[in-house]
Amino acid sequence: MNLLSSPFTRQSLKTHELMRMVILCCIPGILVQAYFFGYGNLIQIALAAATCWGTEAIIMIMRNRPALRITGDHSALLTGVLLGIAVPPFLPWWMTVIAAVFAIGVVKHLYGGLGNNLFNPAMAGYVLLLISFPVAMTSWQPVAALSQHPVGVWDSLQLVFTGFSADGFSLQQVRMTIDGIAAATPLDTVKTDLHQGLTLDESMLKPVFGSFAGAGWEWINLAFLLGGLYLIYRRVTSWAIPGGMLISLFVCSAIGFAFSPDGTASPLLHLFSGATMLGAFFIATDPVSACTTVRGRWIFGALIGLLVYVIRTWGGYPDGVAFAVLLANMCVVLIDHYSKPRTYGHKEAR
Amino acid sequence: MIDVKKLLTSDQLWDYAGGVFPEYRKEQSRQLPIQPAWIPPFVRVPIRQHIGQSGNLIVKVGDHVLKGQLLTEPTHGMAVPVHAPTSGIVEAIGQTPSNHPSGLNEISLTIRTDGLDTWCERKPVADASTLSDNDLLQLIRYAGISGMGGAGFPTEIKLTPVNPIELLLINGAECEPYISADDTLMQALAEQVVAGIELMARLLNNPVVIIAIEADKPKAIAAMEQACADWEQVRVRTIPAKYPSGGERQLIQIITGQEVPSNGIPADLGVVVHNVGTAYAVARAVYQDEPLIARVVTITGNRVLKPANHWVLLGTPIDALLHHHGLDQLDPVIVGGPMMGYQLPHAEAPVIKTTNCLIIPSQDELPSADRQMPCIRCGSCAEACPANLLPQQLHWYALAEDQDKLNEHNLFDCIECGACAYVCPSEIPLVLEYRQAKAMIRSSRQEQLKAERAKQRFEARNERLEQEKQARAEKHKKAAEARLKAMADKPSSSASESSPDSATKQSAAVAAALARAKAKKASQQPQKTMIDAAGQTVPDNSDVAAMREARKAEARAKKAQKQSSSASGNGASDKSAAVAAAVARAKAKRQAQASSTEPDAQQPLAATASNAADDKAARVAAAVARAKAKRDAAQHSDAKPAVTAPSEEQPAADDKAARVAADVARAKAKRQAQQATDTDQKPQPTSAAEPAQDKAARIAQAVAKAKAKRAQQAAQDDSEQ
Ligand code: SF4
Ligand code: SF4
Repeated sequence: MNLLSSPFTRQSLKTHELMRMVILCCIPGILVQAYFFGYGNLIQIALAAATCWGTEAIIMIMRNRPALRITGDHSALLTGVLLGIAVPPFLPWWMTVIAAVFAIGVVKHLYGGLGNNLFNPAMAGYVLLLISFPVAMTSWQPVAALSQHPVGVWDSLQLVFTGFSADGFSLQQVRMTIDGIAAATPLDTVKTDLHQGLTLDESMLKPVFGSFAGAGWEWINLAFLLGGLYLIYRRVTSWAIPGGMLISLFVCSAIGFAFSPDGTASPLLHLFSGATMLGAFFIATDPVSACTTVRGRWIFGALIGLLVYVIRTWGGYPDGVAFAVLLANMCVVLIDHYSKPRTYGHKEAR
Repeated sequence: MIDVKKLLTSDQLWDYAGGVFPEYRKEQSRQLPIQPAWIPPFVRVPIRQHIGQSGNLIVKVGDHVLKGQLLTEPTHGMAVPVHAPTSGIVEAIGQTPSNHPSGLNEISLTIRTDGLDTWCERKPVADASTLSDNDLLQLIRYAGISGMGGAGFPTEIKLTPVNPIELLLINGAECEPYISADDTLMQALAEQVVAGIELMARLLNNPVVIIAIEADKPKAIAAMEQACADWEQVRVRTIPAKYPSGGERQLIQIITGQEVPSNGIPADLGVVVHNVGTAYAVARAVYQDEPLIARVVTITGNRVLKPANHWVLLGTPIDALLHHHGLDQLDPVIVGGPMMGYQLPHAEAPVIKTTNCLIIPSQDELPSADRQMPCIRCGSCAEACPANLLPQQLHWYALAEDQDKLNEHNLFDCIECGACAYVCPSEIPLVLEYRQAKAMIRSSRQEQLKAERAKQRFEARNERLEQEKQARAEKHKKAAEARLKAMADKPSSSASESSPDSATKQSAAVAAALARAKAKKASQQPQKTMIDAAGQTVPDNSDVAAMREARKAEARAKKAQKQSSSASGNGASDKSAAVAAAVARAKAKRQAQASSTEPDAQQPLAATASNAADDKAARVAAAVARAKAKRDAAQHSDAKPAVTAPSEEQPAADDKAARVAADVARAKAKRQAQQATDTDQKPQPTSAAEPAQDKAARIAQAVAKAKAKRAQQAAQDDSEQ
């Protein structure tokens, strides 16, 4: 028996267990999302996860590596799950597949596989779609309660794979709200309305908004927050990145709100709309593409929060988590370099 | 500096960066009492059990030794002696497996115990105040005490620091999982431990004393508090249980809030840290006159039925000890704790002064790290590192063997505590990588040093050679001048002299030797094979030929010299003629060689046989011709004279076939040998009896060879440079 070298005892959480834990902690959010938006996202998640896993396995076989052992680290699965959660529920299947293959094949493995990728694979795949198919990628249907044509499992499958529901409704029709207008996400709505001169309060009266943020979205965000807190409790992830991101987003939006309460979205809206919580706890925390120093992580998180606010407020897209994460990924080396801790016994960090 | 007075009153504790909380698993073993020592059938006492040198052996095989008897004597500074742990006979002194992760052999004494455990004569000191500080230090030194916490630094040296010490920190943290040796020692023998601390404090001029114990040892804390209740300068501090609080630098930070400078030692802060076990050993040495011959060892692990602490004689073979405790499966055995210990390479290695714990784990107790995954940059390691390093970066750079980056990331500040590897979810053996990286950097530093030294040596040598060369050149120049002078002088001043002037002879010989050396050097350059007259490829023996020729020329010159000098009575001109001829020959030879690879443009004019075009062949042919014009060679010599014969009386220097010409000239000169005249300086005066190679010629040849060799060597040195 060879124990190699000290230490001979190790803490119990292993990399594949960490990944699994992150996936499991997504479940509350996924369920709430499914409750509000139907089965579409579940289909997307399954599709993306399967594609990611399969892509990784094929690449491993091509690279002559033990495919089962390596894909057993669940990291590809996690990428797929996150991608599936992020895309609109009725996105045509082939788009999801493209994004998943791109995320794993190009963003992850062309850079050397697990641990070597510069960018968050799920977000890179997402952004690829967002740039290539902006309309499809921003087409969320209204939450189930508001929908003119609620869709079931079969309808969802048909929509994803053929573009029409079983009843022959097109995606456009499905996206109609009861009022007969195409649904927009709350963030989208706010942005458009503010642009058109409405005040925030006026805008918030619209049915896409719930009690304090977007209808449905607020609960989805809460569910992801819950899962995220559990991750921190289990020490799978630390406070630094989500804390940095949420605080910075809050501060930015609070400042904006203080100056122009009618003209900008409220901090609460920012924190509980769109992909804020998912991004803070599950996406920005991807260790591989994030900073590794503790101080660096706070900075990294804060940078993402700032970028999210900037993109949401002034950018061309309603939500900005994916772009913010990728932009912050680019700064990682720089931040790491300047956030090196001071070694014990040294006067200065060097 | 540290405000030590405040340490006695303030309740403040500091925290250090990182740290981990491994499962302690000490409960089973920390129960009292400490089991008494067992006397094994034989002990194996390594003569070096600490950091530093071993003492000098003062016993020999066959000696009967008593318990506590000195086996080695500390003759120099860092030496610490060892003692017989029990009475018996020294059976062997030699190499046996060491208790070290490398498992290398080391010198140890094997003592066959007699079971009587007879003490040598002891002189316990009842009142230490009767001893001078120096006596006390000597006592500690001769008791063989070195740090018992881990590293094993000689205690006496740490008790005589250069800087004034303001804080004596007693380390009772024992933060490693499993180990409870210090814990039970404090519980059972707190009085003695404190007595030892008092002695240490006295030697350090009574600094403030802080005894730091981790919070998970309430009984030890209580016992120690009670033991030092009526001592003002001391305080027992309870520190939070966290690994590695027992690390010297971390402990100093916890207690004082200060950090030991990176390249410094605690004494730089006015602090010295001693282990409780060491304090106990000091007390024992002074008050019982009992040297360090036994220590408390925690024997634990899932395979051990009754984990406990035992007194163990130093030198007890670990396998025997564990067999004695009913253990037979001894693979693996871990020495020390699970965080910083090592797997024992050879179970027959002995318990030594620093062995505080033996873990015999079950199969699943300490899982072997076989599922290593890539680093996911999770940063857990950086959060855990007590030295505030970035282990994940060190990992990358260690893999890349990037020494600059490793130094930049302060690899050498890593205390190898293992906290990073403990938390790493990818199970990367980080500490192992750091150890290897450190070794790599150390050895490359060594190499740099070595290269530096070699360079200096080399340069010194070159300088010397250069000087020698210049000296030689100088000598040659002088000789040449003398010769020239002689040449100028002779004809006028000693025209009638019949016997040759010895000085002139010498200079002539020197010139000849020079010529030979040149010739040899030239001949040693190119060519592998050559074509002989018959068109066959033969091994190139031009070297040999050249040598032979040189020899012959030498002989001829000598002979001619003699002849002409005696016959004509004008030795000087003859001699100079010989010299000139030799130089001409050498030149010709060199040229012949230089042109040997070029097609001979002049050949078509004269050559009848195609193989004659080759200069080399010509040379062979010429050589053969010289050998009394044999039949097959005659063909060539006949062909040659068509070109060369008319020029036979002229300087042979410029012709490509000069050598051939020279040879032919010599051949002709042979015929004219009898009628050699003084008026013509060009023809070579040669003897008729060519094969006459006298001894002198051979000696001259040998000298020439040696010279040529030296010249060649010098040339090589030059090119190496
Ligand atoms: S082993 Fe070195 S790098 Fe790892 S935690 Fe300890 S001090 Fe830090
Ligand atoms: S703990 Fe292991 S996997 Fe995580 S950053 Fe450190 S070395 Fe990499």
